[in-house]
Amino acid sequence: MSAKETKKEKKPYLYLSLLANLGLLGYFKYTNFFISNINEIYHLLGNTNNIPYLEIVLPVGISFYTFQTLSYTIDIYYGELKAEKHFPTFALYVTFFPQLVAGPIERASTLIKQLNTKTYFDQTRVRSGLQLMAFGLFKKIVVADQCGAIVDNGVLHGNELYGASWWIINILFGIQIYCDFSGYSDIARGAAEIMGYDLMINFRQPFLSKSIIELWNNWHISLTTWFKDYIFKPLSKGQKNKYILLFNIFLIYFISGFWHGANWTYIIWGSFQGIMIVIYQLTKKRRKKLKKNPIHKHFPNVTHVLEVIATFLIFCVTGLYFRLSGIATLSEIWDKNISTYSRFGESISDMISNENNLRQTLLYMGHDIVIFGSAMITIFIFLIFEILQKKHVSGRIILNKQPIYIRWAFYVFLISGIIIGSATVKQPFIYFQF
Amino acid sequence: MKKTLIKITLFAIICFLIDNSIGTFIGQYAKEYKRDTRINKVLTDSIKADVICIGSSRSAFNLRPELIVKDKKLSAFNLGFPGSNIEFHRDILKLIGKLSYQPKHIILNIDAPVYFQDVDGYVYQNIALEPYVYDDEINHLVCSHSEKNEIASNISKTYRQNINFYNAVRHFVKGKENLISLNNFNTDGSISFLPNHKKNHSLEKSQQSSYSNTTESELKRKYFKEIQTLCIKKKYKLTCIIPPNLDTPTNGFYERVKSLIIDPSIELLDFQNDLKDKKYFQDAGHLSELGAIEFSKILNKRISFTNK
Repeated sequence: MSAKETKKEKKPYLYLSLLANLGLLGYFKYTNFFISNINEIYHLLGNTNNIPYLEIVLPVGISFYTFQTLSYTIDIYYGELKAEKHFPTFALYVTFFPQLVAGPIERASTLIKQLNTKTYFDQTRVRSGLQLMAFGLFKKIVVADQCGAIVDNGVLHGNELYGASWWIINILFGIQIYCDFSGYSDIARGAAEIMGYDLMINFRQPFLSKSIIELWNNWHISLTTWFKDYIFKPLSKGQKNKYILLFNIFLIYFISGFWHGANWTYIIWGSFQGIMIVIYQLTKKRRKKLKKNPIHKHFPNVTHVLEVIATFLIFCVTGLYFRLSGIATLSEIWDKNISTYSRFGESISDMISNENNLRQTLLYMGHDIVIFGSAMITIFIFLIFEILQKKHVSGRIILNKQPIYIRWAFYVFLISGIIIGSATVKQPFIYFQF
Repeated sequence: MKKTLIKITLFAIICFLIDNSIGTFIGQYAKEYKRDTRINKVLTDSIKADVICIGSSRSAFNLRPELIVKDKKLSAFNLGFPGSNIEFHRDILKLIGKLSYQPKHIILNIDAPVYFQDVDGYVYQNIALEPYVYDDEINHLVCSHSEKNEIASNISKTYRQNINFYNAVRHFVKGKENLISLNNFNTDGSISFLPNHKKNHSLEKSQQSSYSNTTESELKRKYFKEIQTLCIKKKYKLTCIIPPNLDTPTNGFYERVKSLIIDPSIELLDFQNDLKDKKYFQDAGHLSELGAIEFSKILNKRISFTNK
């Protein structure tokens, strides 16, 4: 394609590439989803015959490397990138092991360039990479897996839960998925850094964002920027109609939901995010007026914290659709949502009175205070890390400025935490399924 | 480069020392947390019993060793573990083989009709072994029945003990574990239901009226053979008992077990038709305090003990 001069000449090759990449993704990931929906429609029309499901094994990381190869082709089509003529380098770009299974989704323009540059052993860089890997492992093993153990137990005994319990599950799952996914990204980036390659930052403390749009700008950055560059921008080029632009924003999140998994729960989850961002955009002026409010002027920190909490809760509440995907129907999830709001006071009162040992069921999700308390302590430590990182850009910068005894104490703390935390039942990385 | 190597060595030494301290702390507290210290007794060689009972909860609750050997001038101990499967029983027997005072007689409780089948509720009881992972053999057993890496557990003491972390914290915070029916031990190693434990006489729906060996697990038959071979090798007299059951006896189960016995010296006793009154039962499969006492008296008469 790069040998062709005009876009018109390049187009057939682009279409061919899109067809091949999306065709493979569609076949492996979405075939059975479409079959199940066609069968549902058949049933509604009174037809009892079913199209049989195909036994398809989903290749690991297909959603991630398909997007990498797509970006490569599209960049060549737009003339922003020259084709890589050395096949092993291209193959290495697609299958670069640290980020193969769960990203970050790297652009050819940055990664291929690095792959073509010789790297040498650099002690500082290796140390920095190891630090990042240790942070990632800590997030995954100590924070995410501990939260996961509580969430799993809660979901398993979901029928006994009501009110605030579902809030707790939502919040813990929000923290779990963030630490799980960003933990993997850190490990991937750290492993690449040790070898001399820089992968893009995939998360920038999203849970300290003041708005849902800011949160999404800091969450899975490699995917959101991919959607922005390859879907939103081409669709919105020259577009001045505000509503069409808003629809395009919604569309991106709708597709993002579908990208996550072949299930209506993911699509609903993605759509929720899209709707909230559209609402945020539509209410921009009103919110600006609110900021002129004397309360906001006198207590900017309080309103800042409230905005952060509200954004976090909005994100977590919709996460229920993500967590229960595949194990609960939409109506069951809806029922849980209703129970969450309607029986909130009752659940709090039951937790406090602890009648019939309900605190263990409703608050500790069947565990005891030791397990629940440990999870809370690790979340607190993680939150402090996040706040420090938000203020100082990188945790490693803060760490490397400290005297050796503090750095070593911190390393020992991380290593001990990882070793102790690894006793928890092993939970696979959530994003490995995509 | 030299400076870096010195730093790495120093850091490794610090890590080693801290790792050992944390591991020791966890191990000590976790061990003290548990009420069931029977495995520890085996490891510290403090069981001196002529007769040892092994099996699952039916062994732990139904058999009162002191009553079984009453007037026989023998000592006895119960090493039955609730929820344990035959593979676990084999490994307990292997541990018994290391005691300096060797038993003369092993009573193996065989749960009808599920003993040779893969069913829920009968698992390898890693949880009973975990507090004692300080011992290499126990650590090996725990590692081979979990995702735990044995090599790493030999390198790091904290990693070896990490499964006990929460119990150590629990002991640190609240002291010993709460007393429940599952850890209310008598001096002879048997367990008694607490007086407030609710009785449940509803019959088990899964109870099979006639036994079919098609659902048996090949592995479990192999473990049964290993138990017998081990007893023969160690010169233990082995008595297999099928305990009383409130439910209808499973036809053909006794005959099936009999066919799996490899040596005529091994005794097999069937008590499925004994003690049919509900007052002897806590639930369909487990005897109450009264039932356990009665059953142990019956065993006292029926088992032919050896003093060799």
